[in-house]
Amino acid sequence: MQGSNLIRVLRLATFVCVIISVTGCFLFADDDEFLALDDEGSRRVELHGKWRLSNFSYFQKNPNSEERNLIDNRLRINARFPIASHAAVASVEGLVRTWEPETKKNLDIRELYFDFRPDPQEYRVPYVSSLSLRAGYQIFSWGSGVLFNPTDNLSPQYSIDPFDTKKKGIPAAKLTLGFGLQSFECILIPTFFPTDLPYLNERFFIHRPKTVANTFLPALPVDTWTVRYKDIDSSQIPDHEIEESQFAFRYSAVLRGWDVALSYFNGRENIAVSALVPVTPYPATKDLDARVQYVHPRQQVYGLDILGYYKLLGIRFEGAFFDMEKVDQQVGNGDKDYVSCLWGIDYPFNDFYGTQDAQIFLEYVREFQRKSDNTILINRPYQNSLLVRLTHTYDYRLSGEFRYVYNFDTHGSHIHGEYGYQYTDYTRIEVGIDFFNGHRDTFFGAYDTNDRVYFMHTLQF
Amino acid sequence: MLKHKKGYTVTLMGLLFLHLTLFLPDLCVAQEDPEAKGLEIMQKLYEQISCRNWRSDVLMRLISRSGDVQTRHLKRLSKTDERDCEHYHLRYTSPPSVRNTTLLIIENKERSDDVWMYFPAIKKTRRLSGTNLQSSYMGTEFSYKDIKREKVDPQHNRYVYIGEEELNGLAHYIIDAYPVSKQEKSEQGYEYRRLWVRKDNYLATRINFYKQEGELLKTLVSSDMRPVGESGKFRYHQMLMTNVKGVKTELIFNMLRLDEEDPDDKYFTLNYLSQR
Repeated sequence: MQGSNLIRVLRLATFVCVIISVTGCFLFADDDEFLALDDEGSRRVELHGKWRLSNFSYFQKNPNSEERNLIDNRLRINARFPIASHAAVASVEGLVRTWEPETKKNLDIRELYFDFRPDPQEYRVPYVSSLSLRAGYQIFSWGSGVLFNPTDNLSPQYSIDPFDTKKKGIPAAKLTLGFGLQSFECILIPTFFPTDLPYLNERFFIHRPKTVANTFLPALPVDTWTVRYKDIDSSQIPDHEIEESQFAFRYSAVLRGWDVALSYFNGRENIAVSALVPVTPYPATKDLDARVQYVHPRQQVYGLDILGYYKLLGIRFEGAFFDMEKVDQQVGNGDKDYVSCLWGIDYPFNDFYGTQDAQIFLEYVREFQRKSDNTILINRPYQNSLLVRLTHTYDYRLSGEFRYVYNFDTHGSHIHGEYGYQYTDYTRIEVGIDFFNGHRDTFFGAYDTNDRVYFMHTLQF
Repeated sequence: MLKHKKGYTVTLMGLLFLHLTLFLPDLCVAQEDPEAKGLEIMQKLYEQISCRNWRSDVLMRLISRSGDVQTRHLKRLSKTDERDCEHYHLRYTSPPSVRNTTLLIIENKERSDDVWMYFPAIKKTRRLSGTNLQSSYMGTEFSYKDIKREKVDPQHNRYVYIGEEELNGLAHYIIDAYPVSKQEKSEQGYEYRRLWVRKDNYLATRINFYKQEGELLKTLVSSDMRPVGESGKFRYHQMLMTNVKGVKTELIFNMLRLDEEDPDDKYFTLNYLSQR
């Protein structure tokens, strides 16, 4: 009851924040002196966009998909309306994915918010050097890890292809107090939005498990069932109820040249863990028709994030303790408490072979959990993994990147390579490859038939 | 005989006087410590380039070997605090591929600079190594170090006066700047630099950057010197950096303003980086 009241108060606070932001933009107008450097820029509406056409060609057919070619069309429009030193920002992205002959469309509001930036001195807020209140659809990114961020659990993703994901905007209010190079963020997300996962029977959908042992109905003459997946049951996805509010805090500071952040998140795991539910009572035959039930356990995440440099060597640590809510469904490790840690280093190689630059990033992820089983969790693929990233800049036009992930427990791996060429100020082409390797029962191995090469053309305006 | 001897003595004294009169000034100059003179000239350069604050729009042109040009626009804001540490805020305004990518440099006296870059595409601010300022700034021929002012400090560099030379019809001092230690060399990214400093106003017109074994890496040539507003100071408004392969980066400073009202401290905070 007390929790419910707290959530009501927080929701009311969000509503008040939005009202203050909107009215504040007009009432407390003040010229932004930096923007005013450009005489035209201070009050000019900015309108930009990006159109990206991608063609993914797969080397093999897939049990989920007979098609080998995917065309992906994305158009994003960004608008920014400066109102004195405040701003209203909108960013909308439309996506059309075509697997011949099927076409799927998705329209996504990435960002739509008011940014209210009052002068703290005007409001006589002691010790605060900067103050901002952002209310509306927005995207959050936390953590110093380059390839994985255990502390970053706020924004859901559009993850139909788990290796080409993007974050989705969610309605939220964020208050940021700045104290020089220190800052404190308070975030309230009044409802819950899950990550979009691959559709049933699409190329990247993971059927897990293939077989189920009969350990609980000995009267039936069946040892194991072969599972036939019929549909996805999303009934466990929480409604947009007041009780589903999520909130987070983050304090960050600079200590002797090190970036340090402490964070707390109270919300739901936005990438579902899945449970198997029979469509009918367990049959006496070997075939079992089942549906995948998506479950989003509530969690509290306590995070620590440290990044610094010793001479040229970058050193980072990002760790989080996940205090998970226990759910009734059979979700394996999905509702057990655990600690996830990332250790990383990076090192630059400047001006080799003339004026080329390169940088290598090495990260190791380790999860600590009292008891674990072999469940594949699509939200936690890096339980004991090495992540390598190598970037190469030939010049301002040509640059490339290589990534390698290897899971020591499952021996599954993912190799990604890409090179991009910026041939005008507004256009870029990119080619890339993805290779997956491992046993079929592992996360990366499950994608073994999805090796691919892609071509991408981007036009920005 | 005595008279004769005296006459000799007088003649010898006269020759000595003549010699001293003619060559003493040269001897004095030759004996002046070239490092002391180099440092003195560079300190005058430092006085000339120092300012309380700097605002400008910058047009950046990236010119390939074949002559293809890509254009970028950015805003540069800097402020010097009471400890003589200069803080920089540089934000790209176009083209779209780099728009709102922002660099923040906080200079420190007692340790390496704090450097952060905000990447709008991933909505993240990343710390960069304060000792890796010799790497290329956003794929240009300028390093992060090159876009900062020259910090004239004998603890970091030895400045050796080499001589004088006329450049574009103007008299210049030639100074070689050597990092004092291996660590400094590693941090600066150069074996040494050769600067051509104008005798009339102590601004550097040309800088050659050398790698190991004296191999030329790139050359910075400044031009279009004009007075800046009411500040009473002169600045070059155009800089062209050319590497040995012929790839160039040109900076043109527009609407340059110096020593006006100090910009708000908020521009030099991490919060402000991610607000665009």
